[in-house]
Amino acid sequence: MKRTRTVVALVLCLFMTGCWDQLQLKKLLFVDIIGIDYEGNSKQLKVDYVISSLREASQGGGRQTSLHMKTTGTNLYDAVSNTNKEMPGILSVLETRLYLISSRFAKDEPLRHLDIASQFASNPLYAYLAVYDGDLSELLSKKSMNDQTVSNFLIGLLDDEIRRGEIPSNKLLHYILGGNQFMNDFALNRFEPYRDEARLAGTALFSDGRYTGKNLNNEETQLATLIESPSGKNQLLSSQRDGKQYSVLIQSAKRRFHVLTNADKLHEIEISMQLQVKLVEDGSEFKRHTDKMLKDMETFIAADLTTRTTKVMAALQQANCDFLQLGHEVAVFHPSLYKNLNWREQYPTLRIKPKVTVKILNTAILE
Amino acid sequence: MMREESINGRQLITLTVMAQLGTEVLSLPHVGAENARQDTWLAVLISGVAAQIGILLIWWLGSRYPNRNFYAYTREVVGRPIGFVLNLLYGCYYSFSGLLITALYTDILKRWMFLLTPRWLIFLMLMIICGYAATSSLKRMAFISQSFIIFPVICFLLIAFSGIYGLDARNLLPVLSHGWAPVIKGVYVAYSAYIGYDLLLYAYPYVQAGSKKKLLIAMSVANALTIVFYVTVCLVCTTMFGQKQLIIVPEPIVFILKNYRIQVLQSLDILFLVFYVFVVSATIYVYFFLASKAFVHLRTSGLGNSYHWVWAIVTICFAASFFLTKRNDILRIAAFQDQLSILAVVAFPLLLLLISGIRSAGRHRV
Repeated sequence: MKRTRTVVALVLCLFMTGCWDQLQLKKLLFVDIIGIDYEGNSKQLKVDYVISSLREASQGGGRQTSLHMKTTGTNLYDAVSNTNKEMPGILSVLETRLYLISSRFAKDEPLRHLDIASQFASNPLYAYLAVYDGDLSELLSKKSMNDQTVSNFLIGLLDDEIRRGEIPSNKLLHYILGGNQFMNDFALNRFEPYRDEARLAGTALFSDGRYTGKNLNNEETQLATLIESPSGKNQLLSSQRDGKQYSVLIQSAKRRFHVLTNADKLHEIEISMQLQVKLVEDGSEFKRHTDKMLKDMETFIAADLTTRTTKVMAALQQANCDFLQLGHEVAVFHPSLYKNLNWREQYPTLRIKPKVTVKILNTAILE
Repeated sequence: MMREESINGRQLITLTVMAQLGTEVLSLPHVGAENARQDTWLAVLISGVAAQIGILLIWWLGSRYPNRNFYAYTREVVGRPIGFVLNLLYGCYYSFSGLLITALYTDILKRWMFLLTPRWLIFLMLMIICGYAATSSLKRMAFISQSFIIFPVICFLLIAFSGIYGLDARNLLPVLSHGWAPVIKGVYVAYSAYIGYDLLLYAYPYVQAGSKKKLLIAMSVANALTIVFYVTVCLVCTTMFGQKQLIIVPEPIVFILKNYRIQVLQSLDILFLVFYVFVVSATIYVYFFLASKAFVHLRTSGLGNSYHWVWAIVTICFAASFFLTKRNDILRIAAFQDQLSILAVVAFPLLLLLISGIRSAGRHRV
């Protein structure tokens, strides 16, 4: 009796380990990047996969390689199904790190196609989403970039810049299925062809889930990111004063929105930013900074940043991209006011006034 | 009173928390968002308070018969025939609840992990494990729950700390933007998540808490812990997801756990779902245990033994599982079970308390 029980228990354990759903590692094709564009002038999707694998694997080593595959389909599921007919193995998107979409695809209804990604049981919902302003297949078919695999190069660029607080962190789940923000307006990191490779070139502005065709450059992206998710990550901002170059490294950042109303009407939104920075100046004439000198410098930097931020806000308004979710701010703190507003219509002409204040903490490691 | 080893207050807390936490943890923010929108946390909090009133009710009823369990004194309160029917109803209700929770968890496993594994096999595994646990005594079940309590704690920490990936507190505002009506609806829906405290109906005489008051405190602590768990889950989900997303995504917690990227672990969400079996199974075996006890008490001197009843229930539930394959059917039955729960956990005990009170008042007058 005991033996029977033991055998039954063992057989059950065998079942529990997943005889049916087991996946053999050697058969898995780990998709690192998924590139999506339209095929020619049709609405058929052209999907590129970059599959990463480790060749000549040995203890603690091996050679990373990437395999490029291209297929078409009416949607992502269909494309996967077509790939299965062209390539032996099982496509696994569990570890996908980047969805790269073409600007043409982004201008249409990108989220409608990307929504389906959430239906995969092993969905890579926290993969980055970015735009590429060039030929996706050409980019992804490259064997290497700067002596790195395509995946490591592109994702490495994003990872490092996000860590430095220079660009927004765009994860797929933040935008699909209606988006996790009040307005589905966002700025996606944008790659462009550069020499024989690619580089980050600011952000592509999306309004209501669609690419507006308007972009922010790298510097504007940095400021927009700073306002959207303020944090001091040693971001470097450079400018000139009296022909002399200076830089500030942001140590901490605080931001507040002030919605100003006038007789039950939205009058203005003030964005106040408080930055604490390190000052690094160019030149060989080092002199000890007096309180007055620092005060002057603080005022100058604040005015300069206010002007630059105002330009960023104008660019966002022009694209009707409420990247900062100001609409949410109004809806939450002034619900009755928001109810009578057509935010989409009002936002581009709204008075938005950034106001930056700067406090110089120190001048790096020298006096 | 049938023999049962007693448990202490701490064991009662563990057992009650484990019985209360079920598959609802995964789906509560979604179900709540459909009704109460951004006020889900408020609805869940209020239903927790309502559950506390329910606990008070059962405790009050139990205090009137401190030496007997619920099934033993029903006959005395409402007479032999109605008492028999009541015990039978409770036996069926708990069996049905156990079946439903198993079906819901199987459905989650089937959709997220075991796409090709036959449904009946997952069901069978759960049934065997939970059935085996349900054949043990109240004290042993409490020991099992104490051993597994670490899993809900880990689950809670994982969910709470997922907030570091960015949450927007504005998603909770404005509070009560659509008035109280959606919140009240949310309270009703969320109430079923707290069911499990009704364990006290049976357990009351077997708890050595020191005094009646301490017993009530133990139950209140258990309920408070569950409230904290549920409200945190709802707060995290509401602040991390948009309303549209919450309405579409049935298990937002799994989506949130995907956020964790650990070099040596591929999918924390999958691991979470697997280990969640410890939490879900506790609810199931408590239900099967209560069902078996209800059937045993169909006769004053005892009808059969609890061991055989458990396996009979498990067999019937397993057979019934073959008819529960469509998700929409399971959800429809779950909605029906919510109504049954209100009857079994609130209405009947309240009615019994009233009858018992009236009879007692009558006796005093005589």
